[in-house]
Amino acid sequence: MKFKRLSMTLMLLVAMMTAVGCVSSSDGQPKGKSTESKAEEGLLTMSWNKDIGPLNPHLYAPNEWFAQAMVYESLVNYGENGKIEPSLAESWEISEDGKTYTFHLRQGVLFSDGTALTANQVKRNFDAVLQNAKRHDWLELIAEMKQVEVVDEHTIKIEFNNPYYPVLQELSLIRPLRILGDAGFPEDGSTAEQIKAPIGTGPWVLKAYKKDEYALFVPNEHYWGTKPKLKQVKVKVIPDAQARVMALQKGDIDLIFGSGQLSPDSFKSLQDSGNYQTAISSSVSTRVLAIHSNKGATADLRVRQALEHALNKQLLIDHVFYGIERKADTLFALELPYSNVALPPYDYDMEKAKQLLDDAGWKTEAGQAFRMKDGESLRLQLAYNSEEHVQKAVAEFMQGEMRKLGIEIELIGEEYQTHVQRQKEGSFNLIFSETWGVPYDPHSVVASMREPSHADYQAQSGLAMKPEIDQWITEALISTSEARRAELYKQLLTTLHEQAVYLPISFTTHTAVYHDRVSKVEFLPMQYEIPFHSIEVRP
Amino acid sequence: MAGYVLRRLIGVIPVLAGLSLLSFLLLHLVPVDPAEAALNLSNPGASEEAVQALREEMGLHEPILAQYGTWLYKAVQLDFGTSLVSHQPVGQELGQYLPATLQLALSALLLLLVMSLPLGILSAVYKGSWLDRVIQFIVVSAASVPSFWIGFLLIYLVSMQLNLLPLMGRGDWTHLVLPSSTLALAYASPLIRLLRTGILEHQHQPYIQAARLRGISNPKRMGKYVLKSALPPVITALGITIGHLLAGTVIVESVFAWPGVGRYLVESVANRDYPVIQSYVLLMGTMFILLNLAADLMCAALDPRSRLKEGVLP
Repeated sequence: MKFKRLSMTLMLLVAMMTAVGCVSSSDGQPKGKSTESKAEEGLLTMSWNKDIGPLNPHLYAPNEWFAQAMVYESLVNYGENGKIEPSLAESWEISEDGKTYTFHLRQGVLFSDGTALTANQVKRNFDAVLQNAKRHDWLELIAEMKQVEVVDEHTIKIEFNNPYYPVLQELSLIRPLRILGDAGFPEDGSTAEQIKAPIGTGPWVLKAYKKDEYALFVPNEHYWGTKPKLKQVKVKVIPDAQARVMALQKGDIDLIFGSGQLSPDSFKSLQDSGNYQTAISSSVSTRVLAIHSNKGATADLRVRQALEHALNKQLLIDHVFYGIERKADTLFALELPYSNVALPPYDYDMEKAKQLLDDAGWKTEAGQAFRMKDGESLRLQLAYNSEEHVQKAVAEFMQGEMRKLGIEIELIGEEYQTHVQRQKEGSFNLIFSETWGVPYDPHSVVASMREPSHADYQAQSGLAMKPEIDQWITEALISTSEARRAELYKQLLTTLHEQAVYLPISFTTHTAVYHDRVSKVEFLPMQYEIPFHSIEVRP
Repeated sequence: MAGYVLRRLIGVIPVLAGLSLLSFLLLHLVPVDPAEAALNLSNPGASEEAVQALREEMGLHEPILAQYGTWLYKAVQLDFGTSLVSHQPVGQELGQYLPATLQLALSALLLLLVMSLPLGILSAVYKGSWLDRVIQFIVVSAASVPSFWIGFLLIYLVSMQLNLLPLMGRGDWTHLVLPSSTLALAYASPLIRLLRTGILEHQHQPYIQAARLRGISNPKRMGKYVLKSALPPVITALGITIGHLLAGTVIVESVFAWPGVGRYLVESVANRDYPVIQSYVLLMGTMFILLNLAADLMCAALDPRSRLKEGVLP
């Protein structure tokens, strides 16, 4: 009997603990409830998958682009349709030979600590970046920069080695050439490792920050431009995509913005629920498969062309992307500079694809699942970044489609770093790649095609005209004749298209999902900026 | 006893040295080094010269064993180097993330004990009854589903449907309930089963029968004799479980946006931040060894026979 009593006591204890747990948790509930984000007026809460980083304007990861763009500004802005607009520089002149740029700084611009923007401070920033030039050698602008000279307090002159045409485009980049205030510089004057404080001229100031938890921005009271309507922006770090969706559903956050922050499935289901506002931007960059022209079966042009014809992109767009990304037939969207070249698309045509493979000698044989040539079966390696669910979905779709054609696709999913390594080494037949978006597209992407460490170079390495391709690119970048440059771009894009070294899949987009209290979520031309200046919230 | 503890503590040193050497070598076998990783992340990529320059800056051009020597020389002076990504001292960074993880692990441990001890005892005492079956069902289910799924389920039910607790993040104690329950549930099953088996095994031993004949009451017999013999394997398992609670929080931290050391490690692996990974392995290794030692000592205190085996008794 006593034995039973002991057990009963224990059982009661468990039951009580559970009950106590529940009761007291509902007591504590108001604190943790969803009202948090609505309590304060003018507060917008957004989720992000990573910490914003140390906000060093002259460095890259782990600094997050959008946060750098909130705090720091550059001399010029990249506006709609690629128009370069004044920012910290009010106006500028370019010398006849295209090698000297003189910028007139806007008067009365103050940093967030109240100090004034001067030509000296701009030079100091440029010098700090040049000091660390090795780190920036992917950026042609830095390599071309000869010297930076202060003319007077509000005028600065930059001399270049060559008449490099995309100077203004690259000056508009979010990094590495944005301007840090005097108080942000460490004692030794070098920003190569860290900065002292994030002091910029931009519309936002970092007010509170807890690494890997949140960052709170408030408007910069000294900002020279139109002040944002929001009173505060809170960026909550939520690493898991599904958790971000739940946080939005509960009302803990107001907005999920960007590309890759939501899976197409989540976007679709949030959109279908009818409880949220949703928006999709215009094209941001191009998602392509680079096809290796110097490796295995894909060294044959006919095999590459067969692949181009065999992918039913529309089906992919409808069923994997739910229309969130749009179908792409060219490496660059036609509205980009120099990219409006008439190129006949490779239409979805299975018969043509089969014919091309037959012509290339890859024949179907009885008893063989895949096409054969000289006793070998047709097997291609397709590499993707395993952290990108979309890539995996596209890769699996591709595998199924190609099987119908008698091509065996071996999928290689690897974590990001190993995936990049594979790109550089060129050990793939097909590999996922993405253009970089404006202002990099098209000139920076094209410039990088000359670098052996890029997938593009590897993919093109089997082309007989590769040396000419590289020459055209080099010439286009420093040609002073607009007509000649357009002609070179046309030649380049046509050749790459005809040689079928890229299989364009879709134009990526940004998506935004937000609660009704949020309005005026616009998309900006630059891939990594978030339109906090226009967003409004109702209490 | 003191001699035994001292001998065990001295034994820790070669284990840690071996552990650090092994992890150092393994790290360098992983494709892509920190210099390349840093530049890869700075999308768009960089040239081979830039990688080489950064490698030299990071000291990666030296032979591996020389690098290990430098690291070890500093580590014994408790200088764990600076992160290759943030340029902050690793000790300081770990110190920032560790409290969150410790807090989570401790509260999970508490829940784990509160859950598994009564359930284990109950299911042994009522072996074969409906209660035992219900507990077994829970145990098997909790052991079969991945912890992120339990996490999402808890978030969905408790936080979203019932609106009882906050969804995620770190704050007051209400933020702790869901993540620590998730962690505790994942590790409760083996403990409950061990305890149940242990009790069942000892319940019918001759010395327990003798105690019963001597008229010792049921609860006293259970508490003083059966449990005392059934606990040592549970304690040993618990020692390892605590280690797992500390080192296995990555997924739970990610689901609940908990700013702990697990996420810091995952990011560091992605960035190939050698000093951080190395220090983390050393820290967790030390914890595991110390917890194991503590468990052994507790067992020795409970069971004189194990002291005899280890030659602790004079």
